Amino acid sequence: MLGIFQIFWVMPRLLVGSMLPWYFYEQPMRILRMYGAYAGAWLEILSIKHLLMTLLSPWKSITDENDHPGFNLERWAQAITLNITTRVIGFVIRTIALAFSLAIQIILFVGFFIYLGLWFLYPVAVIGLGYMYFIGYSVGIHV
Amino acid sequence: MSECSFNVRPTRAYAGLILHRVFVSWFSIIVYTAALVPLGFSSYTSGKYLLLGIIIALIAFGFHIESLFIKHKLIDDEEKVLSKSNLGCYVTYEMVSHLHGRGHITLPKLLKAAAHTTRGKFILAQMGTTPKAFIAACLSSVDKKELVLPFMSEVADIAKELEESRIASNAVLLAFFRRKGVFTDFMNELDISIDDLETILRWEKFHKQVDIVEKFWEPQQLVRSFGTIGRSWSQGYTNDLDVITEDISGSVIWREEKRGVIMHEKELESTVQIISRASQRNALFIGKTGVGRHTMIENVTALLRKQEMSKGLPLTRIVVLNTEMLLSGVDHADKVLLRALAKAEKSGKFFLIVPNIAVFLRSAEGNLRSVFTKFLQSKNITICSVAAPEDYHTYVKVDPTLDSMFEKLYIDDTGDDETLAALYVEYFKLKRKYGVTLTYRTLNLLLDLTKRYINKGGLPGKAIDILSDSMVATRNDGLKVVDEEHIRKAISLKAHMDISEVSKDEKSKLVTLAEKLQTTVIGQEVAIDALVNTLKRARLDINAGKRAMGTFLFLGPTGVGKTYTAKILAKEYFGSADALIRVDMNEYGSEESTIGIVGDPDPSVTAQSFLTKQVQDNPFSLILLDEIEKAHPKVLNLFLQILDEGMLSDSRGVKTDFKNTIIIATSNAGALFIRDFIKENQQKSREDFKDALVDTILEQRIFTPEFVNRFDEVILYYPMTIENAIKVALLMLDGIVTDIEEKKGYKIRIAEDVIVEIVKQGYSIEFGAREMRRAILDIIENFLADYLLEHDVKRGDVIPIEKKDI
Repeated sequence: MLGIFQIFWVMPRLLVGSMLPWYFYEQPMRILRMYGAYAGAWLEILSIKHLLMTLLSPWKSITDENDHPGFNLERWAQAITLNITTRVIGFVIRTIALAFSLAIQIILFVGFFIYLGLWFLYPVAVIGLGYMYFIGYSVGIHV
Repeated sequence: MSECSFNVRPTRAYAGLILHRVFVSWFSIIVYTAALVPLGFSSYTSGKYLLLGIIIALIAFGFHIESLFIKHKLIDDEEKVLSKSNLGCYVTYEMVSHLHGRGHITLPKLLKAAAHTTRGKFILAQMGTTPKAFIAACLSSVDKKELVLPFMSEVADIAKELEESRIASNAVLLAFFRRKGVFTDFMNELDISIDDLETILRWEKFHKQVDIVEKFWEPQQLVRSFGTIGRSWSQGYTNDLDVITEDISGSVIWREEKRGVIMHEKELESTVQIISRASQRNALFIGKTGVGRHTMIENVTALLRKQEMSKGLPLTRIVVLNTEMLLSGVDHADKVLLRALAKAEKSGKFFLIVPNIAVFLRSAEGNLRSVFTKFLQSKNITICSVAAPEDYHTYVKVDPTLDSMFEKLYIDDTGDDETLAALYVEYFKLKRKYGVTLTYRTLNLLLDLTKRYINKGGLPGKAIDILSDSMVATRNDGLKVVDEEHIRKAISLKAHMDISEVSKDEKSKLVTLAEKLQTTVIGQEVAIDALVNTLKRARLDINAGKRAMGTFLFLGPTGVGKTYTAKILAKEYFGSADALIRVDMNEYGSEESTIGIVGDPDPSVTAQSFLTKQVQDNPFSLILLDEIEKAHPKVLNLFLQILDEGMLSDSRGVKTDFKNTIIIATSNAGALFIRDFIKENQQKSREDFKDALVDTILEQRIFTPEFVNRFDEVILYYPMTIENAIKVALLMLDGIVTDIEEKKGYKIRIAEDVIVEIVKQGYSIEFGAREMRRAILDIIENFLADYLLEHDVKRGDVIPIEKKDI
């Protein structure tokens, strides 16, 4: 039954050898990698670069080509109207997608960096609270 | 060894177990909550909640940190061990958590723990048993006083053998099963060998790797769910191409990784080389449906994409042609294809997959074929397709230009190991979908029966279909485990025959076969014994299932019952006289007649071989090659392959399986020798006679030695004696008289001297009893015709036949 206390022999090694490097290096790196993976995934889903590069392109490449021989004003006007319309539709939809994609990237950035901040602040907060509660109390600081 | 110890307590796993219980279990949540109650009460009375909120947030975040630490650094079996000299540090968390009394570990405790882990339960379930049954049968034989350290050293070696970095339940169980004794008895009861167990362990390891379900919010899963919306909007339609194709570029790598096993690796390597060339990069995979031709293309595209990604090259777009849409869904298919591929060619590299080239070419008119051929030469477009062997000959080979533009790769059925691998991968997917399990033994049975009874389609495809059908049927029956009956039913449905009877009764058929044949084939007891004994031996032979069920050369003079034996054997063994495929070898006397066996090599002629078609339609048949000595030597050479390998590749590359057939060749060769030998050497044994006859046949070059040696047995039929001829006459008469009695109702009484007359007319030393039936019909039917005209005969009347009347 007392064998359970054998873990006390390994606890210092686990705390110093494993916990500290894990808390201050491995896990923050893991959080950053996770942020990278999510940001990358959303950039794959809604590619800002591609949306910008093709912002004014016709929607779904739908265009009307005036391939009839000679000049025909009606046909020309029809092609111009459709091509302008399809570019405008493309611009509007891509702008919405772009805004959506940027919003997601901002949310991800802010969310992950708040989390990372909390991660590093946690020990300080615990120590601070403990200080205020136990030591501060004796010097007159009340929490 | 002497420096090693075994203690599971000063280890990460044990620390993880204890810390988990203390800090992040349900119990600890209750403790935290209880500790917060006074503070909560004080906040409630004072109305100040800020401190309470901060403390709750800190506890919750602390809880989160603790659980992450325990998960990543203590429970995770891949972490560095605390002490290399303590074998306990190598034991997995799951094993440690199932061990009781960790301060004094004994072998029985290890056995129980291994059986109760998730991995242990899976292994035992695959063996067809449960932890409870396993423990009940084996625990008593394990000595609790036996030293644990030597055993664990052995287990550590086994873990290395299994390519495991830690000591898990699989290694512990294998160590126990290798101890023989009770464990071997237990395995024997389950009909599992140690090799089978090792295969199960291999698959269990694979199952552990693939059984991780990705959550929908994980990054890769998000990309798969949403697709690349932005990219497709910016690329837009490559108008015509998007209409007639489906883009699978985004999912090929994921699909390949999900597949788990790679089959046909050699062909895969060759294909990657082909598509990496500067020109002539089109590949055509030729093989039966189900051999994995499409999977092969997908694997090729995945490898291509991986290569491009690792080298930072521009990505090739991978699209699948929607043949039906192109041929029926658009006007002027040729123009659409031309526009689509012309635009594709300009916009970058494309990999076009044509799902089945035969469907495309069958319906494609001249212009469409020309457009297709033009783009086969394109530098930016690689085209891959599949075809069945017969379709390749009919639709591709006929057009030499088209044919020359494809590199042809033949994809064959997968071997047993590869098929089992594919079955396991599919089983793991279906298990999750239907909640139904099956054992390793059932899976092996499924593979054996599929190979044996389902002729159409290739492996692993047809076995996977059966697996899926039987798992669905099991679920529909409200059961949890697939049993052998479900497998047999699924195969019966697919094979369009009831295999439960055929596959079960084979043994009893063989036991009674000799008796049944002796009653109908007269005077050839020794020949029939030899035939039946060879069939029995062939069934137990290690080559059983790799060749035909039995191959025989019947030698003997005419009219002694060779062909008749084959007919009766077909009826008794395969259940119907229709199971006899008779090939009159007289018709295969010329060199050109090989076409009759292997089909016409000319692709424009669609005639299929008579023999292969018959065997494909009725795989369970007796093939009678009558008068084989009259066939041309080239025809006989074709039979060498059938006799040797149990299969025949016809001129179009279609393989026909003869493994479920019995092949009997009959020959009168050496008939004169037989007559003379028997007259002169009556005291010689049958074996001497057989040797002398075979030597004579070989000397006369009627057959080559390799042809004769290919048969399982050369069976000798002796000339018929007069006594046997009388028995034959009686047997035939009995059949005819009974037939007349049943149909017409007349009772016929035949005098003895009439029988003597029949035998006189129907029997001769040269032709045996060949004329017997004709003699009976002549004498009896002629008499009956006259008698019925002259007399007024009613049902039940007796008609006497005497010598004076005939």
